[in-house]
Amino acid sequence: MSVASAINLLRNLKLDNSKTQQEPVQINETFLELFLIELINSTVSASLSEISKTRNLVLSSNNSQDLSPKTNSETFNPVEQELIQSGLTEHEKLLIEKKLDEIGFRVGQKISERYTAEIQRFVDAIGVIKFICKEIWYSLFNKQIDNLKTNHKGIYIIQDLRFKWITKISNYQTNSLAKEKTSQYLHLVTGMLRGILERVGITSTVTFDIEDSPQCSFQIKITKSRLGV
Amino acid sequence: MAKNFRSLGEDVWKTRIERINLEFFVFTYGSLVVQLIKDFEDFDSVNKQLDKIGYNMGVRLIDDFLARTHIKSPTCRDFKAVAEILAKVGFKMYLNIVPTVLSSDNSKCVLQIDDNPFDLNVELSPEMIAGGLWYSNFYCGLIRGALEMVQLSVNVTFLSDVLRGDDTTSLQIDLLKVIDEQVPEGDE
Repeated sequence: MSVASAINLLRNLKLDNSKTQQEPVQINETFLELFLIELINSTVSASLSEISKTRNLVLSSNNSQDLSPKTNSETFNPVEQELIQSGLTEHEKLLIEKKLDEIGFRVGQKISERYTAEIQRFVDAIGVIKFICKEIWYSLFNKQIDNLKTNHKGIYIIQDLRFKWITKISNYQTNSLAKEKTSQYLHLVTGMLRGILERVGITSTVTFDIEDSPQCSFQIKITKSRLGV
Repeated sequence: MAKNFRSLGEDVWKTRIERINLEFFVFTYGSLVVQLIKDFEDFDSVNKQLDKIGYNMGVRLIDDFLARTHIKSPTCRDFKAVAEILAKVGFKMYLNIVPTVLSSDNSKCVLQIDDNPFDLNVELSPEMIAGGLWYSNFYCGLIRGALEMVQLSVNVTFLSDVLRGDDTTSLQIDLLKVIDEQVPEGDE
């Protein structure tokens, strides 16, 4: 068999494959929503228990200070100690955010691997970003990104005018708890975007901005890219 | 009757709910399990935490379930019927699968989940299997939470899991008692 016909055969195989996979398997949206609530709650409570453990450690090591002052100073770096003394709120927040970001990151990696399997290799970063805005956003949220801006130097801002996950959080303007919850959801998404980009060879930092809930935007700053910008 | 439940499940799934990509959910669940394993470093605690997450979800899910299906209490005359509804309407409308109800009587039943969506692209390492991780333990809490809200105190345990090398995935639901109507403890 010649190479050309082999490639043809491959192509045919691939086509057949895509035909059978036409209908994506679906799940109830309410189920996912409730699951995300619990996911965030569980992550938050896990971080809190971790924090209280560290706090106990500090207390106990403070008590035994005269016995081993050296090990005490070694366990915590200055920044951490300062945060612990200042009532932990900032530290707590950071830890929770980091954890959510990490969960999102892993989801992003898998999404990236799953969805890029059937398309052509990306040649530049803007291609990847467009893919996220159109295909990935559509399959996750049943809509495309509303607005995409770039400075052509590695910064992209994608804006969703009605971000689905946070539409059901009420009183965003007045309630600080609602604000916190909203940002927890968005930390999942920033991690996810980072994960998607990481798997196609782009290192990035992603931040979000809530303009007027449920309107929000994500800023993607590419720090290192295997592809052209 | 059994046929009715099946068509009710189909009907609810097709017409009364919003649907979303399953893979995304599966990825998120997987990522959560990984995080839990990192946090707890002990598979037993992971099982418990998954159960807890399921429970918290179940107590809310039942409201959505009753609102969308319009199932009234006379329909759930006995535990057998409850098991049928759980499998043919509940699982169908939320996860789009219909587990087979094996050996159900009025105090217990066994559900066999043939293509558990959670298992998609999942493999457990030998340590996880040896450590006793039940990857889908979430189901146990979910069913327990949901049924508790309709006055049925149940105990749910996994009997086997394909991910752990068994031929089938099945779980057993034991009816402990029917709870009398009362104000729940600690309810404000």
